Amino acid sequence: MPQVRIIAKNFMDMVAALPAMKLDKLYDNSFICEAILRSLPPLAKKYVLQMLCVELPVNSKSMEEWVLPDGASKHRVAIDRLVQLRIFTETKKKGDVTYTLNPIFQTNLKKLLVYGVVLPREPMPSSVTVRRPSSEELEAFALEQWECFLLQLINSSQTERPSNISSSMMKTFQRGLVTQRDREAPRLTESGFQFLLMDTNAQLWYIIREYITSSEERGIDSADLISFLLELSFHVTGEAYNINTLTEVQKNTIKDFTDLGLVKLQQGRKESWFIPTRLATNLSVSLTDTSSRKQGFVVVETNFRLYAYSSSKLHCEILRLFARIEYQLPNLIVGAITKESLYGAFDNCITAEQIISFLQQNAHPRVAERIPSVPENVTDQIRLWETDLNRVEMTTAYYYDEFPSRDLFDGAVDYARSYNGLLWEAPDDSKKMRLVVRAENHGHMREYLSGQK
Amino acid sequence: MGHGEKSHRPSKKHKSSAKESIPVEDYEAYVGGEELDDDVRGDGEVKKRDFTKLELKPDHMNRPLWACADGRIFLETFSALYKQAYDFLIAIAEPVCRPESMHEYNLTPHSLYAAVSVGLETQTIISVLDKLSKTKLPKEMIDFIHGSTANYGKVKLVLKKNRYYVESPFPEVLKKLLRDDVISKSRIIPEGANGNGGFTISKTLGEIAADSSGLLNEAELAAAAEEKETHAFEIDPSQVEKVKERCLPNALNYPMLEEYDFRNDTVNPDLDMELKPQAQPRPYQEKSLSKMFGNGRARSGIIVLPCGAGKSLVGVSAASRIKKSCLCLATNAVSVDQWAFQFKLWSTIRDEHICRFTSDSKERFRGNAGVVVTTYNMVAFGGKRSEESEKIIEEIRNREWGLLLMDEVHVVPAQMFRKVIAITKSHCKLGLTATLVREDERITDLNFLIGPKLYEANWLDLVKGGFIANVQCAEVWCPMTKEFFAEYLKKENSKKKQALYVMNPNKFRACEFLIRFHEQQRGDKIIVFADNLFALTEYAMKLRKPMIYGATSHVERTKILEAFKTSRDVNTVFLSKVGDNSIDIPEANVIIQISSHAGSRRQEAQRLGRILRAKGKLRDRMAGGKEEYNAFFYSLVSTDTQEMYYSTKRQQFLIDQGYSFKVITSLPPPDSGADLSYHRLDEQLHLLTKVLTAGDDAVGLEQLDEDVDDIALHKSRRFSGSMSAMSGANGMVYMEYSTGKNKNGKGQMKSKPKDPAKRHHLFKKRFA
Amino acid sequence: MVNATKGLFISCDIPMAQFIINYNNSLPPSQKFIIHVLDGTHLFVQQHAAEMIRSAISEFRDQNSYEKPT
Repeated sequence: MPQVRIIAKNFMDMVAALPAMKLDKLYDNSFICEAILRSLPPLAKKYVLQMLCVELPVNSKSMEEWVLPDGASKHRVAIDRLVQLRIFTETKKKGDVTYTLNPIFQTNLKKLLVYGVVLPREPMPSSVTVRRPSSEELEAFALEQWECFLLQLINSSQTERPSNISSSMMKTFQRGLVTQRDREAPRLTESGFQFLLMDTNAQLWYIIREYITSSEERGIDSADLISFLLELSFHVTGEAYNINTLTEVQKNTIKDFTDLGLVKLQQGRKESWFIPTRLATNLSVSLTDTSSRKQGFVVVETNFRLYAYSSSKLHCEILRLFARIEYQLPNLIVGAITKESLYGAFDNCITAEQIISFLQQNAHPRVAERIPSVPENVTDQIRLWETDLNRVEMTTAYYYDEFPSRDLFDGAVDYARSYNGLLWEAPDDSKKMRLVVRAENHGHMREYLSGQK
Repeated sequence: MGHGEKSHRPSKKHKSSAKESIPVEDYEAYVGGEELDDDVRGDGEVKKRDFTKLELKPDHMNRPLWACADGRIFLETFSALYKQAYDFLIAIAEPVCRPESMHEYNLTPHSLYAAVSVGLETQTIISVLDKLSKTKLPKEMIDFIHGSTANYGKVKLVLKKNRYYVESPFPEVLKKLLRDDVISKSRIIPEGANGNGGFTISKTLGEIAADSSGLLNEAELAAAAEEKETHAFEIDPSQVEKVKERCLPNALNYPMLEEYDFRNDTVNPDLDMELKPQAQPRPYQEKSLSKMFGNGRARSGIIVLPCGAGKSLVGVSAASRIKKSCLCLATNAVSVDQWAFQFKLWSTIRDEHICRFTSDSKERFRGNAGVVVTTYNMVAFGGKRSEESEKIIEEIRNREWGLLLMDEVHVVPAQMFRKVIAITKSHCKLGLTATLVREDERITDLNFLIGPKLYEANWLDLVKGGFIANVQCAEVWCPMTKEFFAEYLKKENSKKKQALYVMNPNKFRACEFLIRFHEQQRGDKIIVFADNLFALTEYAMKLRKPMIYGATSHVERTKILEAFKTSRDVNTVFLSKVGDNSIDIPEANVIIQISSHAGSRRQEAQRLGRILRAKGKLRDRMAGGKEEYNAFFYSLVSTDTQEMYYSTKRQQFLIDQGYSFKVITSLPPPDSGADLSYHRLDEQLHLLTKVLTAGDDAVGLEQLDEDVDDIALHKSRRFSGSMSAMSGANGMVYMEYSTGKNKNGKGQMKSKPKDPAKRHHLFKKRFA
Repeated sequence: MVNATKGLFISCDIPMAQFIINYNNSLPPSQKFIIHVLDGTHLFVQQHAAEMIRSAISEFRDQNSYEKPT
């Protein structure tokens, strides 16, 4: 994923950020406890299991002895995470630090060990659920839904059919990604462009995060939502789950998830069910932060031509951000990276590095093993064009001259420098005493100069 | 559909302003001057080429190409069927670009004409294309192929036992032609004509398709390989040109293919020549020959191979197969010598059967068949000739040539072609070239004057196979110094812009650095190219290196080249554009280009060609071998000047062949360079004064002399009106320099540059 | 008495500075915008000139760069 300014925090960060009350409530559900456990870094997992039957607080010093000296930093990370998630309670007494396992969490996890995994709901037998999609069909459905959603999100004219997502919800998602000045056609913001260059998982997280944070506006408890998402992520892709096992709120949520491609809804003669797609179950993959690598699809040639093995309109829109699209075929998009197309991208604050890393991350397997996967002359040129745009730097400033004395001049130079406002000073050997200071520091300079008189 | 048409609508605003500012030097004074200006863009908007509705075949993964309704074809080079698909596509379509993973081609009327003439039939083209295509073929493309090939290749002009026949497998077409007055009047009706409309009927061998490997060798081709019945009528030899003209697309639109049934030619005497056993044509050379001789006859057409890939062996092989008298045309006297040498090198031809006809050597072969090597100019020359020349030309005129072998066909102007072809009577014409720049409208002329393109090799494949050198190309960015740039920007210096960016001290230093690096670190042999004579002399003098330009005498030239070849102390030679194609320097493996002719893509390719000849052992040169990169091409460019524009434009042809130019931004490296020239400001300023005081004309491009490049002279005469450069008054600039390393100072200097009119006179004198 | 002038400080490379200076010189006196040429790579100009300079530079850049036609 390109380094972008949108921080697509991972799901666990979001869980950890919940208020204590809500976190504790979350742990009432033994399934959630298991989910959380599975999401922990390996060392933290070990600590939880080691503490499972320990009722008393454990001293931090003795805990440190559990790891070899070179594991100290991992130890720190593990402990921090556990404390953040309130799985460990930290107590400080006279300089002594001790940890206790969250009792609710502990109880539920023990129950789990004794009685086995308690799924929130069981898959329905295939005898009941007819016409279940094949895994390819489901995959295609998910991607189509997601793509359709994204196209709508960026207000593309390529959208073939609007999704059912309410316009108010869409507006929520668009916050920060799309701006619209009155009467003008909406356009992507800088973040919007960067968002499009992220991989699907990162994009999904961004959207889910917006969905959760805005849930209170819709009168939904964010902890409920998080716990439902966690449940969902531990379901099995392609299995059918009965709608009737859901609460009213969850039933509404599942409709939104259908539009995002997380689940597919089907109706039988008597019952209806939802089928989680890979997008939903990937939520749990992202829980442990291993981003699943998609197969790349882009070939860039030394003559700046670009071939994308994709039938996705969205890919086409993304490539259009920085390339000139020339041909569209059923499974191939042909374009060229030109100076003009790149200047367009730079205007939208997409950086050369983002474009290059997008091309590298999505390199077609044919060229992915090649080093470099994107020809060097192309990446060099993209960077050079960017540098070329930044050759002239302009700063609003004040120019000072006519200093009555060398002392005053030197003092003023030092003063300006102390504010980090000095832009230029006449070289020492110059007879003329002149300096240029950022405009925002002019007030200070004036004060200083009048004070010295 | 890809008719190669260009939109000439007004270009986008800033583009057009860029265009206007391109200075006078953009006129094509360069040899040829024929590159069509392709800067005129369409309206800048990319047409929607949305072919997403094409139906993808279920097994599309196994097929190598996509075909679009507008004629564009995309080919995956990593497909298992790449080789077959390439051979097929190069026969039916024009390559647009051929980098590593994906090739692009355009289907055009010309390319289909070529396809038909190498024996591919409409139905074969469509069905093979369909087999290779990942999608169902667009209807538009099928219609286009039908439309374009409906008439092409249906009629052949055959010279049999010295009688001309118009031949076709379709009697109805012949009938149609005969409805034309000119043609019917030209017809010679044999005695005792029978019922078949009076046509002679015979069987000819079908195509033995060279590319009939695997996929292509199926039912369609099997049909083509069968014997075919052909109908023919004879025409009056004196009317051949008229009949041909009537058949052209602008008239009856049945362009005639020319084939030579040399095996059955009992009238013209055979020439005793064979390829020597050590002359082993490489696979691509073999392939080009098989396209030419596919059906046992010799077809007229053009073969395109990169420089250094062994065009001459193809030419000599063709002559050895036909085994009849051969007239070989080159662009200048130096090439004539080289061709004569190649004939002797590769074939068993006896010395007395080959001769050269140039202004300096007027040889004649003995016996009743032989090879004559000469220049286009010698044949096309319209002025008064010497008695001796007149005799030779008369012989050339009267002889019936088995093969007319034409080198570097891309540089020869169309009128000259017409003249040459009108003067010489030949059964078969083979054109050779390395750089068929595709925007060139001349391709139309070449198509009908010589014949279609028979084969075109893929540069990258030859590099991978180790047949030509793997060249590292680099564009070295040299920032202008403050003082030079200030002068460059001044309006009053508009005529000196070129001199200023070429003489940019930072460029000079980069050049000096590179020469040192390659001479000392790698022991390489270096050619430095400068079109600008002022720069050439300045650089060569300052760096104390020998140089060769138009006015350098033959003796001195030979001396310098010999030293470059053999001496360990002479490792760099400075060349003006005389070195672009007429000087053979196989030892060189590094090129540094300090100035060039505007945006000529062809010149760039030709210069690269100087170092393409592969050296060393084959296995070392192959991909991954220990000498994978053993050749270097540097183009030195002053940044922020028009040179940047030209440089990018020049590279386009090579880039389309898969070459890439690495940009190098700081040479010499920041921590070095104190020992290089023009390190001090006062030296730089002195140089600046020199550039500014030189006359505007003196700092322009070199005009070539007649003994350098005959064709160039021909062109420069035509352009003389726009070239005031050599008008005399600026002789003083030349006064300061001698040519190359001249011990006695001003010994061989040119007293005065020649007046074009006078040079014309000199040119005449050679023949008088 | 120290004198202060408000304006635009330009920092760039040598050729760009030369370009801006040359551009300034080509304008009629009423439109000249350079207040001080500080050194080879620094200029101090009137504040309103920013857009003008940028568009002149971009035009110049376009003149010197070749874009392959489609």
